[in-house]
Amino acid sequence: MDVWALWLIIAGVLFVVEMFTFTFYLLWLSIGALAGGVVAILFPEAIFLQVVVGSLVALGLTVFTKPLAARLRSSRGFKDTGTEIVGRQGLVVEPIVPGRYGQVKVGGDTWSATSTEALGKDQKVIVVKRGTTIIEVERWGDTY
Amino acid sequence: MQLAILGIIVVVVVVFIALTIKIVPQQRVGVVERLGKFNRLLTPGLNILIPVIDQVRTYHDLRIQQANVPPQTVITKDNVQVQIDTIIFYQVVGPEEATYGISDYVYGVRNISTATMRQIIGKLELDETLSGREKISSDIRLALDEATEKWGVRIERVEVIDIKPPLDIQEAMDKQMKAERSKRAIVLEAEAAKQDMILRAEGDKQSKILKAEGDKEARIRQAEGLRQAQELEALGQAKAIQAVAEAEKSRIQLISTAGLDERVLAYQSFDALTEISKGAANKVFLPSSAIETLGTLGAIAEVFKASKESK
Repeated sequence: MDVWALWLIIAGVLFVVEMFTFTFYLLWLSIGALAGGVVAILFPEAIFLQVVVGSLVALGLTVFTKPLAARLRSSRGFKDTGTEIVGRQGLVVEPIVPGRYGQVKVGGDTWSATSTEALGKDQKVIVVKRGTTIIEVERWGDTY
Repeated sequence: MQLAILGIIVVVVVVFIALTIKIVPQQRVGVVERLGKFNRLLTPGLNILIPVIDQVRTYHDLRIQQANVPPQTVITKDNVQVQIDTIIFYQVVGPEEATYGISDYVYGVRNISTATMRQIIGKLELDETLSGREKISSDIRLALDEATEKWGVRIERVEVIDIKPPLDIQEAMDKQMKAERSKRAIVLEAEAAKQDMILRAEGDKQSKILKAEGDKEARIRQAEGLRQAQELEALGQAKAIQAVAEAEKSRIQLISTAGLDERVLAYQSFDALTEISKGAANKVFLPSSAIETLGTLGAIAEVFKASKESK
């Protein structure tokens, strides 16, 4: 069997596995193998050269993944309700006294909340900051 | 020899690339440490790492997780042991804190939930426990949020699936419920009987009053009728008497105008004599001339009278 055919088989197998697993680096390795195959057609005897070229292509592609990743990163993804709670409106369920936690209902979820001012029950508030489990709220509107 | 070098090159390249490119699926996040120190978070999507220098410490699942807490025996304020079965929903919201703040947050979440539950139920009486799930979960939220702020885990909710009081207490509760129901039934019955009696008495009273009223009216009417009748009768009598008197008066007048003489008188006395003679026991002999004699005798008497008056 010719060496380039061997390279082609390796490239094909890697590509198929890549399609199943979607890990991305197998795709680069597959393209590297393809490059090795091309070299093998030109210099069938220089196996060392083929491997080095294939490896270099794969490494080069990996390096160029960074700008690609940066570009993909800016695309839209799933947004968790918890992460974008800041700026949303809520309703005080348990009165908030400065220094103690009260409870605020924001879109169906109850959060423990603090505030710099005392807020009574049923006061409309807006979320200004989010800690891990505790949010900071401010009075919103004048619906006392 | 050459083959071994080639093999090493291939292995190194494969491992290098595998360590460099990391694809993180949605709602998972990796914590990257650069030479052992926290560097950044791996967000969903394609990520590039520097092999060897960068290392992914752990991955966190950002979805809401559920943790069953095995049934716990909890003692309420009034010293009843109840078995309480809860489920906890929690979510990792701060991957850094969840990695560095606590060693095992799943275990931590479970323990803090059960501990808080015990504490809160220990302040409640059995009846409150059974009915106040809302309050329990609100109290738990407050206590848990304070504790888990540093853990990067938000406990979404703690749901009480089941509260099982001991068997004898359950029986007692059943009995109490039954007694309460039968009490209500008895009270209702008594009320019905009372109402029944009241209604009957009222009816009786009303009927009696109506009867008496009727009687009274009837008697009044009767008396009125009698009075009117008597009045009318008296009036009639008076009128009749008056008419009789009038007639007598006119008769006398008529007689006097007609000139009452001896012959009429004689005729009258004769009439009277016939009346007397009709009596059964008496026997009367009437010589017709006797009247004449009487008349003469009367005349003589008149003469004597006149002479006496002249004296």
